[in-house]
Amino acid sequence: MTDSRNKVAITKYKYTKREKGEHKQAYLFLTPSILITSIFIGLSVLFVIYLSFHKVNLFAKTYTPIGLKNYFRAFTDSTTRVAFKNTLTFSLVVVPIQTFLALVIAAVLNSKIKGKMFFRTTLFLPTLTSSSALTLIFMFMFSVTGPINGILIKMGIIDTGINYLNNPNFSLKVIMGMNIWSTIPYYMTLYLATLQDLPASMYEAAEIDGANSIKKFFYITVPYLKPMTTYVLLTSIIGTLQMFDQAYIFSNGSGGPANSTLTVSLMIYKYAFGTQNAMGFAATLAIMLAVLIMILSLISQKVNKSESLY
Amino acid sequence: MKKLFSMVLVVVLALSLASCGTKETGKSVEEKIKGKTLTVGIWGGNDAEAAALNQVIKDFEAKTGAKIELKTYTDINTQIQADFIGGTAPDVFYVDGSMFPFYATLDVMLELDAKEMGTDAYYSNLMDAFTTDEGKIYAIPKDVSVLATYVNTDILEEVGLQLSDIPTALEDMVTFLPELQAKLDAKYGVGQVTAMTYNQDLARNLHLFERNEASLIDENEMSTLSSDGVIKNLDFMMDLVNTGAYKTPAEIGLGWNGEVFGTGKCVIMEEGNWVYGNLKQNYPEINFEVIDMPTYLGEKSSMSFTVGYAVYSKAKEVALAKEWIKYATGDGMATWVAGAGCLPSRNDVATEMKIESDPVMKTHLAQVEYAVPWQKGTTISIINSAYQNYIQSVVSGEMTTVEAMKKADTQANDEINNSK
Repeated sequence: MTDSRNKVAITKYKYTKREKGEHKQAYLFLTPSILITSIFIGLSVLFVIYLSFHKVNLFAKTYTPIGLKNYFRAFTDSTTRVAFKNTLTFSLVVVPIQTFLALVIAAVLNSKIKGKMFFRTTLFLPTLTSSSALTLIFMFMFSVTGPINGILIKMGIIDTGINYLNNPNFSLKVIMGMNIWSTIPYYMTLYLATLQDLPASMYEAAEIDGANSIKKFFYITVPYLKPMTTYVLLTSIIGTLQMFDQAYIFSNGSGGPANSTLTVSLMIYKYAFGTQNAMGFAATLAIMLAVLIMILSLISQKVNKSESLY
Repeated sequence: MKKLFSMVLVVVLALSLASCGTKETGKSVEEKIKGKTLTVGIWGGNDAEAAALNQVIKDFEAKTGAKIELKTYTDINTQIQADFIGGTAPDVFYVDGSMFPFYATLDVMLELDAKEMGTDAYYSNLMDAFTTDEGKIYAIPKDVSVLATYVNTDILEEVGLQLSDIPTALEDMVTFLPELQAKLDAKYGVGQVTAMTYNQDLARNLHLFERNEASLIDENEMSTLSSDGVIKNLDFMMDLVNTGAYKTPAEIGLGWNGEVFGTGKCVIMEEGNWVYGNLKQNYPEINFEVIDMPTYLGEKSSMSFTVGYAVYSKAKEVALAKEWIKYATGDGMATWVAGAGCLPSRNDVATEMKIESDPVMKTHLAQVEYAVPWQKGTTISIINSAYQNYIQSVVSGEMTTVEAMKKADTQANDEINNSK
């Protein structure tokens, strides 16, 4: 509705001379960033698309066109399938959990509980730590002789330590846990900031109508935060689908054990910078990943559309 | 404007004349390289290595009047590829033996003349590692490291054994290790001390896997991990693993063999000479002896790891580059290897340095000649990655060796084909 109205208004409106001058100025100010973006992002994207249709040897600077061969290979290659499966599983598990938990924690911290500032600060600490350092800490905690196994053995749940890092059934889950734990605080802060603007009168009105705190959460807090949820979902979908550093450190760059931590980004890295000299195939995978991210982002936006609010 | 133009012209003329002057022929090498600057691409090592290299550089600069600038890479095999593509790689750079075949296909190294560089002086198997199948030499080995067997004598005595009780054949380890493990478990408690550590890495396993004419690759450099020969050798390694007394550092919960050994959590390990200085420095309370690697199928064998100096094909200072390599792998080699804790890549330097006077280094050095250099075609890093990916499933009992290695082969060969 609003969109079409604006369009009508624009076509009828005639700019004054002064306004036109201002537009020119605006474009002038935009020029540096447009130039930089088009060179470093625009051209790179075009070059990646170009690379994906070629067999590339950057050392000898030879580009042999091979049509759709790279794409055909990517779709038939079993390892590529594993990488996409891992990446999607990772995203599907991590995104909903971290969004929901961030929401709940934000709502709790926004209430009148004691030690609010203390919790806010301590909870934000993981986000300040670099993810490579976190990975190493988690690898220590989950090692055979690490504290997690120690606690489980003391509690009598297991007899001998589980090798979480070398067991394909566990390795990706450990990374999932770490990712959820370390990114929740960031999204929580975003939610908290939005919640500051939520008028208390809404809750009061709900209370008068007899709503309990769970109802208030689902019928006031959640809908009010919907626009922020869209943003959180988008960034976390993109972030999880591009996950690289944690898998790289965890598996020493191999994506093992048994390809359980092989993500698409890691695979792109392996093809582009290993001894494979396969920049073309890496570019193909990069484009496939980009398309996947675009599709999933669009879907999440559609699902979480905020039109019902207004 | 006119004035400015004429001034520029004068400067350009002066510069071109000056450059003509330096191109004078008939100058000796010493005069040619004096005052020039050479960039050398290296990867960062520990403090001792850095100090040793700086000493060699200082000596070289004092001798020749040239200047050396270091370019230190944190992940050389990724970063230097970008430099090759951009044409900005250093004049001289380190080449790891295992990466050499790949770089040799890229046309990034200058061919070196055997006579000029005096290649006869180096151990021939190390020289071969830097020579292509067509006989072209692209790098000169600057040092070598070799695996040997380290034994913690304190723990051994505690359980009533001696160094001579340790079998010299790997086959006998299958019965010896569980016996030792039983004694360790009785003495220290179950799972506290492991009899022996190993690594799931072709860089360590290659010499075993290729025994009896087996090969990890075929003539097209495709992976053949599941070929009968390799599987037979791998099955033998699994016999050792299945004793439960032969574990990886990860299974023990530590980072690498040296740490396991240093903290007294294993009795026997196979490691390179780099661990020697590390043990002395970080774990001085550990008493140990170093013996030859055990024989397998009646033959001695070990793995060696060599690094060479190569000249960039677009190097600006070729004459100086060659002089530096000659010096660093000649007169300067003793300074480097003594400081860095590796072994010289030529016999005359080893004799001159009296390496034999240190029993540990002597044991390491004695194996250089029969040790298998860590190198196998251009595809080995892909194959190694696939192997590491699936060997764990064999150890955990989920797959048989054949099943796992077939999967590893498929993965590696798919990857190799995707790059073609």
